[in-house]
Amino acid sequence: MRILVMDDNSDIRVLLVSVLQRAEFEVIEAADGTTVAAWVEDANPDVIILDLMMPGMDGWETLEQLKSNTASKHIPVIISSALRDEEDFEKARRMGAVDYMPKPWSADDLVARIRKAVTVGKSKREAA
Amino acid sequence: MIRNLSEAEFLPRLGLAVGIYILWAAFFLSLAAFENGGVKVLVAIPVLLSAILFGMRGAVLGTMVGIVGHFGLHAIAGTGSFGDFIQDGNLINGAVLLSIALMVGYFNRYKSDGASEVVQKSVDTLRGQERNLLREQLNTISMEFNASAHRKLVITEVTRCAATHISRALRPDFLAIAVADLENRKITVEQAIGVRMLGFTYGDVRSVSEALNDSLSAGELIAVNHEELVELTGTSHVAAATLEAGLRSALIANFRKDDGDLVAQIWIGSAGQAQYSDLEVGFIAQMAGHFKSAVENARNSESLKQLQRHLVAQNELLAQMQDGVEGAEGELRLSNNQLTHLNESKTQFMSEVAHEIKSPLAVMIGYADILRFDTEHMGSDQRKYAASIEGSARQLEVLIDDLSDITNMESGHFNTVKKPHDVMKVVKSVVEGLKVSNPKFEMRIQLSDFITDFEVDGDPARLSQVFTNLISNALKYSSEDQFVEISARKAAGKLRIAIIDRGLGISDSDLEQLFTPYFRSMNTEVRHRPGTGLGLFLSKSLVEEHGGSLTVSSKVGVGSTFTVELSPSSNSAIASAA
Repeated sequence: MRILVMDDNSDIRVLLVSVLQRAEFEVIEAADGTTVAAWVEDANPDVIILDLMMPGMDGWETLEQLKSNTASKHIPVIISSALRDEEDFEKARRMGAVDYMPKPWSADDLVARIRKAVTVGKSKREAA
Repeated sequence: MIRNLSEAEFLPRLGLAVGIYILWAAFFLSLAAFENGGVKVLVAIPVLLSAILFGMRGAVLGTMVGIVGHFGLHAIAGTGSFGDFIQDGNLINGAVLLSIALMVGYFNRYKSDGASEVVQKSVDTLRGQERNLLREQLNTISMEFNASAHRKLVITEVTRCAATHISRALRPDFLAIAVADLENRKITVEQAIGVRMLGFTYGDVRSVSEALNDSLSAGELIAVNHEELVELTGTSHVAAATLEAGLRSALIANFRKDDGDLVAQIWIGSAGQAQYSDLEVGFIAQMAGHFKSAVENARNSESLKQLQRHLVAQNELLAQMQDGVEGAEGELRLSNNQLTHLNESKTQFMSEVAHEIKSPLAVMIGYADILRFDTEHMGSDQRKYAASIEGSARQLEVLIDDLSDITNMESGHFNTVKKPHDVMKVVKSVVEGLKVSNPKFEMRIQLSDFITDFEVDGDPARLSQVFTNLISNALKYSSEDQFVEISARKAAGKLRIAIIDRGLGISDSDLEQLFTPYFRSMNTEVRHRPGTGLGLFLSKSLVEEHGGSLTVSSKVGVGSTFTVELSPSSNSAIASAA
C-alpha cells in the first residue's frame, strides 16, 4: 500500500515516514501541492495525507485539484492539520476528504484511520 | 353767593370795632363838648365803620351800639330823660343812621362777597394747577418707573425714584420706604429721608399692618394721628423712631400682592398734625399703584436675572462637562480602536503561534508514541519515559488550544458550527478516548443511569472539548483509587449530565472564582496537578453558547459534582411533537 504524504514541515514528513514504514506502508513525500496534478497519476497512491497550511499552493487548493482531476478524484484524502475548527472539518468533508486528523495526532490513531480510509475507498470504488 | 364769616373771622373783627368805638368815646369824653349835631355825626362814624367792616350784620350791630351809646352818653351827661332823648329826634336820627348803615352794609356785602369769589377763584386755580402738577408728576413717575424698568430694573432704583417724587410733591418731614423680601421674610428700608432709621423688620411691619388691619382693609393708605402713633410704638420700631424724631402724625401706605403678601410700605411723617388734602392722598394712592407694579416688576426681573445667572452658570458647567465627556469619549474611542487593533493582533499572533507550536508537538507526540509501543527495542523504563514525554506534549497541546480559544473568544472570532447530533455519542467517545489514553482510567470511569441517546443542536467538537475537560478534571483532582461517576438522564425534557468525583473538593472561596479565566486555587494539592485555569471558563462559555448551563456543587474532602444541562434539538422536539 502506497501513501502520499504532503506537508511543508520536513520533521512531520520524517515522522510520518517512520510511523508509516513501521506499519509497513510505502511512503511518497511532497513538500507542497503545486505540481501534484502532473504526477499524482503516475505516483498512484492508495491514500493521501494532506496538510492544509502550506506555502505556495495550500491544502485546500490541492484538495480541489485532486478532486477535480478524474485520475485522482477516487484517491481517499486524509487531512492532517493544526486547524481544528468544526468549520474546517465541514469544509474538508464537503470538498471530498474522507477523514480529518487534527495535529498532533497519535501514531496508532493515524495508522488505524489510514486502514479504515483504504477499506472505505475500496468498497466505494467497487460499488461504483 | 353770600359767604358768611366764620366765627374765627368774625370775633377778631368785632374786637377791633369795639376797640375803635371805645377810643372814639374816650375822645369825646375828654373833649366834654356835647353839641347835638356834632354828637350825631360822631355817632354815625363808628356805625358806618362797622358796616363797612362787617357788612349787614355790622351795620345793624353798629347802629344799635350807636343808639345805646348815644343814650348812654346822654345819661352820663345828665342832659335829659329817655323821653327827652326820643323827642330830641334821636330815634329818627337813629333810623336815618340805620338806613345809611344798612345801605353801606349792603353795598359792603356785595363788595366783600365779590372779593371772596375772587379769592375762591384763585384758590380753585391754584388747586387746578396743583392737580395738574401732581398729575404731571404722576406721569413722570410712571415713566420713570418704566424707564428704570428698562434701564435698571432693580428695587433700589424704583424706591429711589418714588422717594424723590414723594418728597418733591409733599415735602414731608420724614419719609421711609421699606421693601419686603418675601423669600427671607424680612423687610428692609431702601430709602429714608429725615429720620435716622432703626431698621424695619418684616415682623415689625407685619405687626403695624395687623394693628391697622381694620383701616387697611378699606384701602392701602392710612393716616395715623399722634395718639395712634403712640399706640403703635409698642409694636413698631418705625412708629417709635417717628415719635423720637418729633413727628406727630404719619401717612402709611401698604402695598400688597393679590394673595395679601406685603410687598412694600411707605411712611410719610409730619412734624405737625398733618392734614393731607384729598388731592395729596389721591396722589399717594395713585403713585402707590405705580410703585407696587414697579417693585413687583423689579423683583420679577431680579429673580429672572438670578435665574439667568444661574442658568448661565449651569450652562457653563454643562459645557465644561460636555468638553470633559467629549475628551474622554475621544480618548476612549482612541483607546478602544487601539484595543480592537491590539486584540486583532493578539488573535492573529495566537493562531500563528498555535500552528507553529503544534507541528513540533505533533513530531514529539508521534515519536514518543513510536517509542512507547516499541517493545522490540525499548525497555519498560524507556517506554515509561516516552509515555511521559507524550503526556507532557498533550498538556502543552491543551494549553495551546485553550489559549487560542480564549483569544478568539475575546476578539469575537470564536465560532461554533451547530448541527443536530446525538450528544451521548460525543460523551461516549470522550470516555473511550480517555480510557485509551490511560489504561488506568478504564476502571475509574463508571457510567450510571446512562440514557442511550439525546439529540441536541450543537458543535460536536466543542461539546467534546467540554466533556473532555470536565471528565479529565474529575480524574485529575481525585486519587487513582477513586471512581468518577458519569450519569446522564432526562429532567423536564432536558439532558442533565453529571460528572461526580469523590476527590479533593473545592472550598467556598474557590467556588466563587472557579469559572474566572486563569483562576487556579492556592491549595497545594491542586497546585501539584497541571492546569492552566482556562478549562472551566471555556467549558462554561461553550455550554452557555449552546444555550445550556454548567453548574457545580462541591465540598472539601467529599468531592465535586459538575452538571451540564442541554436542551434538546429543535428538530427532535418537532419530530417528537409530531
